[in-house]
Amino acid sequence: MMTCRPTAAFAPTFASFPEMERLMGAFVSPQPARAGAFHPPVNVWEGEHALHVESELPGYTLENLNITTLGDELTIAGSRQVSTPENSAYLRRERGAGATEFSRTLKIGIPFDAEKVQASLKQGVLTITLPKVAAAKPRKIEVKTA
Amino acid sequence: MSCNTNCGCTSTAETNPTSTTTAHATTQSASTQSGATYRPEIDIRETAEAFIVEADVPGATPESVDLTVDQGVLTLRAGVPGRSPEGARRLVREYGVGSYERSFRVGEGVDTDKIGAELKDGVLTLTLPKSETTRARKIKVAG
Repeated sequence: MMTCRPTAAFAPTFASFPEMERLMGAFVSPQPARAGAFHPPVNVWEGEHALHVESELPGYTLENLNITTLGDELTIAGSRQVSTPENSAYLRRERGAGATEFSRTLKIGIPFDAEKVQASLKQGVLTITLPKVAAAKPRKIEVKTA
Repeated sequence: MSCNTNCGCTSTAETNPTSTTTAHATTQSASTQSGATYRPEIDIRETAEAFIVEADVPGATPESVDLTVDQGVLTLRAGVPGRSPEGARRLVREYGVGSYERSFRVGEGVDTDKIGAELKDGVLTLTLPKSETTRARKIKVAG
């Protein structure tokens, strides 16, 4: 397929990321892509108060996106209607490899407040803001005797 | 790579010097936020009346899109401003943000005066109406 968007081209470079990010003191690790599946690329930044995740999802609307958090994982999933109108034939098909749905999970190594996660979608660009928790509070763990 | 020449709508990717540089821009200038040019992914479909081109141009606004037809070549360009959050450090970079550019050779079969364009949710849809002579026509059979 002829594509210059970095979806496939960039995937292999991830092998080096975990180590690099451990050195940087942060750890955001995208899960490996499933072969043949649409794998929307992401950009992630860390600000003083929040983490910013951005993904390009042209053709998607907030209604057909599902953004969830579970523990330290952020999952972006979505589906889009790709209907071939009647009496219409595709001569070329590159966009999203013709995929109609995707799911992508990012492991966020920095504690964030799941209640205050915000997402917006503008011109096909999804922006998710994950506010950091003030501090990881120490917790007393009771040890029971058997 | 090239679609049916009869479709009147052939991508000029191989001959367009801009598109060959985009691949490099994506992989080599990983540190630059903008300034790079990307070739948008497209779908092309054909109906009885028109060729429909859909291009993924996330981040582009209607004001930023520039469409020109010159000597049978339709060129789509869109500038997209960088959008790194201020004061934040980058942890993961899987794609770059920059301008879009892609050209298509448009055949005689397209009425270039009536090309329509619409931008929605980061998808640019171009409608290239077929000229009268190339439209599908029902032929009556006498008998």
